[in-house]
Amino acid sequence: MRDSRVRSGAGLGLAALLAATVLSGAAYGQTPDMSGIYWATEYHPKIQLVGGGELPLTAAGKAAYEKNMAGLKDGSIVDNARKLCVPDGLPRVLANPYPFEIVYGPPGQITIMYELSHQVRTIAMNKTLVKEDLIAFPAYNGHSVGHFEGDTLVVDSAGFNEKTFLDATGAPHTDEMSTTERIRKIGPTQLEDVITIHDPEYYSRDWQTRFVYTLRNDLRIEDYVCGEPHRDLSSVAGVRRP
Amino acid sequence: MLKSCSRGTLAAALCVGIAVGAMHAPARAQVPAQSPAQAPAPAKAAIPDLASINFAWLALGADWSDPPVRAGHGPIAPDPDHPFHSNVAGPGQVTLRIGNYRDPVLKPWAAAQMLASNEEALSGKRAVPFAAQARCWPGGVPGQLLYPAEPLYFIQTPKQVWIVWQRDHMVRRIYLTDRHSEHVTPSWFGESIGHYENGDTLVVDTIGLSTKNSYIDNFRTPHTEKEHVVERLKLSADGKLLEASVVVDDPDALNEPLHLFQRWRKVKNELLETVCAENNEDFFHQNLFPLPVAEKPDF
Repeated sequence: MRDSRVRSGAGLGLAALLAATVLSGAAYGQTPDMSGIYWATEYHPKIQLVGGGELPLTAAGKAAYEKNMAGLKDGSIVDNARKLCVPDGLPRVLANPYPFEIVYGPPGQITIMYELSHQVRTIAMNKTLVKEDLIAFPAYNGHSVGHFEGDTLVVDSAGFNEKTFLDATGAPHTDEMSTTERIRKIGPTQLEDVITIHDPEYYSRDWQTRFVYTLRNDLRIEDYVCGEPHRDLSSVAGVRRP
Repeated sequence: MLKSCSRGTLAAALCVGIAVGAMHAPARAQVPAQSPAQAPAPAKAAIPDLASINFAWLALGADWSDPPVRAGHGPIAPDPDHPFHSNVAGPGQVTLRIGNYRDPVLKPWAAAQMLASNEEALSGKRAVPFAAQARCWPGGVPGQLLYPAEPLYFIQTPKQVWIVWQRDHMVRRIYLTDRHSEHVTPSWFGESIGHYENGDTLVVDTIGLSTKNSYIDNFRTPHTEKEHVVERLKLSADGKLLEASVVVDDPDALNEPLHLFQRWRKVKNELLETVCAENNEDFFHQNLFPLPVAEKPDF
């Protein structure tokens, strides 16, 4: 496992290599425990940039966004994440107002399971993304690998298909998008996920959005089937059920 | 994780299992030396090793079989007038699953419902009868165990087991406790509690199962909310097969419990994202059962 940590351009130095050595193998004994059930307390249909401001769209990105917005409005583009409950993709799935759970397991993997549309993300620990897989098997939620840097779980994802939006308003991305999430506990019951979006065709610079969740181990994740009545979301500010 | 490793033999054994990682060494080292007079049974790993990122479990078929040791009433069989020829049964005309609604184990209402479903299929009104996972519905308990084409995965922690089906990323949760909740709201997968037995078996007890579009098998044998399912999931001696012995009790649908059996083989397969609702259209105008659809967005 430790030899797989050779990545270029990701800012990994000697410290990270040392950390990888310590963390290699399946044991998570030295790593922060973020396992549990979490739930957002607020929901924003439109993506909120860290530092504020608007999406740094390129001309191509602007055209794609306008096309999405117009299509969603006139019905020529269907939001299948809401209509057929296909996966939301990143980062939209991070914004969803339903609980989700983080499970350390099976050994070598961290698994994130969302109540919404029973989405499952597998994060292969201390592995590298395999470019051929990303091209051959593009996925709604992409392919993810992770490693710990101190108290932070760093998750790199790529290999996305182009069937998702970045948010409910139709913010676009290409299949060349890659993301880096930095997930950490910011309090005994608070989890933070800051995701950086890298998609130079549509965005003139990398940008970030941030989500904070509350630990809710008093809950159980419920079954979710499209079109059926689901959990009460009135505790999540900003949710408007049509 | 460290905290939980200090409590309980099950947790300790699992943590040892995790710590040794790829070696898969059983927890022998933990067994204290004993005199021959009190020699215990040969040491075994405390729990069956079902979960891995390196392997998964692929069902051997989409129908229940009789348990190896006949214990009671077996699965509902095809209607003798309409023998079933599956599309993996070799040469011959593939037929629809028409269940034996005349089986005396069925309460009259259940038999009548199956007959109606059979007639709907035989008349061609619905050319392909309902099959939950083919149309993106959860398979319920125990029906979800019958999904054949893509593997399932386990995640095991000291307090919980998850079963994740690659197909449409369906997830069942099993809480490792000895008590059901006082009030269980019926749902697709109900409430499952479980424990390990003999170091090789996961026993799962499920209640609280909702009934809409939920069947015990692919012959569309119905159940009520009184359905009570006990699944015993066990590895074969060589570890290459996973076997489930299942007992379904439902005093309002069945005159006696059904005893069912399913097997999976161990496959090397990394969990992929497969999305059921994608391109799942009624291309041949067979009046397929509708997919789950939200007519208006959930939020």
